Amino acid sequence: MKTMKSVLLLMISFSVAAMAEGTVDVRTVVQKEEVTVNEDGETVRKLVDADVVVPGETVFYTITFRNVGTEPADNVVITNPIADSLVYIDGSAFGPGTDIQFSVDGGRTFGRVDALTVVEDGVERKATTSDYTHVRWVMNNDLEAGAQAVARFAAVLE
Amino acid sequence: MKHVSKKLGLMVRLGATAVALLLGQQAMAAGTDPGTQIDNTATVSYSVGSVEQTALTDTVSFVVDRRVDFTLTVVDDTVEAIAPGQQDVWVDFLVAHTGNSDLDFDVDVVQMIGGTFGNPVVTDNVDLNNLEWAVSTQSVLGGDADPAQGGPQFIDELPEDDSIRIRVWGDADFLLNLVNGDAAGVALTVTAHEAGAAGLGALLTAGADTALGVENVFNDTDNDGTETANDGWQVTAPDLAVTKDYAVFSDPLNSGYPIPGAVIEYTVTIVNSNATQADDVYLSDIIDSDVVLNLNVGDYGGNDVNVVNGAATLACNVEDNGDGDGCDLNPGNELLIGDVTENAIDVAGNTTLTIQYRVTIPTP
Repeated sequence: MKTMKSVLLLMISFSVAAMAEGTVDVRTVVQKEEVTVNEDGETVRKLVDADVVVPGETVFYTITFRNVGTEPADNVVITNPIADSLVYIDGSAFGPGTDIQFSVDGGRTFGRVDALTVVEDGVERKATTSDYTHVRWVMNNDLEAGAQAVARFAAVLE
Repeated sequence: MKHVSKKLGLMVRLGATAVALLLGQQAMAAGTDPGTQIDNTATVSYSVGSVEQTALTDTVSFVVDRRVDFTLTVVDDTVEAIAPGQQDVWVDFLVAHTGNSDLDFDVDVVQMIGGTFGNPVVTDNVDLNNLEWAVSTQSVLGGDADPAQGGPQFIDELPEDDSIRIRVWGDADFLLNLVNGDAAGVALTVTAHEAGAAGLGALLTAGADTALGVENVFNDTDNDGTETANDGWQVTAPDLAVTKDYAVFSDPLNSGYPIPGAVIEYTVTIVNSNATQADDVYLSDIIDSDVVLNLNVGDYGGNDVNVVNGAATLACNVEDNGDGDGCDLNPGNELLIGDVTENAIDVAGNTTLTIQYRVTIPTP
């Protein structure tokens, strides 16, 4: 019995150590595209701060997450709700080394684009981008200590 | 529009929420309201050594700004034809609002000084008297209504995705010496103002760009919150030409000559070859006392005189001068068609008024 207590205490101490060493830092920014024409008449597109946004414009969300601990982070999943006033832009989700999935039921379930359906007026149909409520990125591999990854998607403001 | 479930059962459970979402999104059909804060929260879940860690979140926000987007057009760019002396002639303009919040608009009208308007284009060279304007009391989606003189002179609280008419009146009462082709144009300008307050709200201006403030983003022509359009009138007096012909309708010998017993048909043709309507047109024709006017002519549908104004045949009974049809046979054998005290005849632009009657040459 005394031995079992020692093992249990050891497991708890390992867990505490793991939490302390595996911290991930996450930062999100929102930007929009600014299109200008330079002196050579060339169209220049660049992302700028989304200080001024009106309906019809596209905003870009970039989520950067970095492992600031000393141990690899595994089972890394980034989940991002899509605001009611935004409509996801088809094909805009980006995330190297991740499996990108979407939800059409408020984040209860996720699936790939082709597998998503909704029921409308009692009839099941293929989901469209305006049905998406969440996007999530599931990392295929561990995020090593010191490593950084990025996820991005774009949406139109209704 | 987002669907919050993909299973019917879940739809039922979230029914109230779904209805609320649908209603909310209908209200935002013209675009998300300015001032709406859009939050985005990313959540990162992960494990270390297969031990699940506390999920981390980060939120970023922006506030929807006001899109000031509208057009000003003339309702009908065909130049309005007016006659010298005409009063209260008018043209209509339309403000169409496609921004994302209610707006007020200041309205101003000035006489054009030269410049062109209309389709086909004419050049302004005269001014009308007594210019005035008024805004309709109902927007187009609200049912529309002809603006009335003395009505509001600015646009109050025009909802997004709606439009409203503005009418401008003028008097051509001093233009009696003018000639066809003279043109009077007006320039109407609308300027976007803030809605919400009583009366005309504050002028909208571009502000500093901040993530959580509401800025005005002008998306009209020139991106300045102001639009101007020109329209007007052109003097086009009625141009009437009158001809009178006769033909032998029948004669006892089938000779084709106006012999005793013959029926002669007179045709008076009044052609208005200009675009402006001629009002109160009447014909006074003295019938020779040697002939007798035929009455109740079968070929005229039982009328005494066949009066055709454009495509309309008018009733014409000369036997009763007080019956209100404007057709009289006065003392002195005066045939009067279009008695203005009874039933005035207006001949529209580019139409013809035809008057026919038959007389019989008495047999000795």
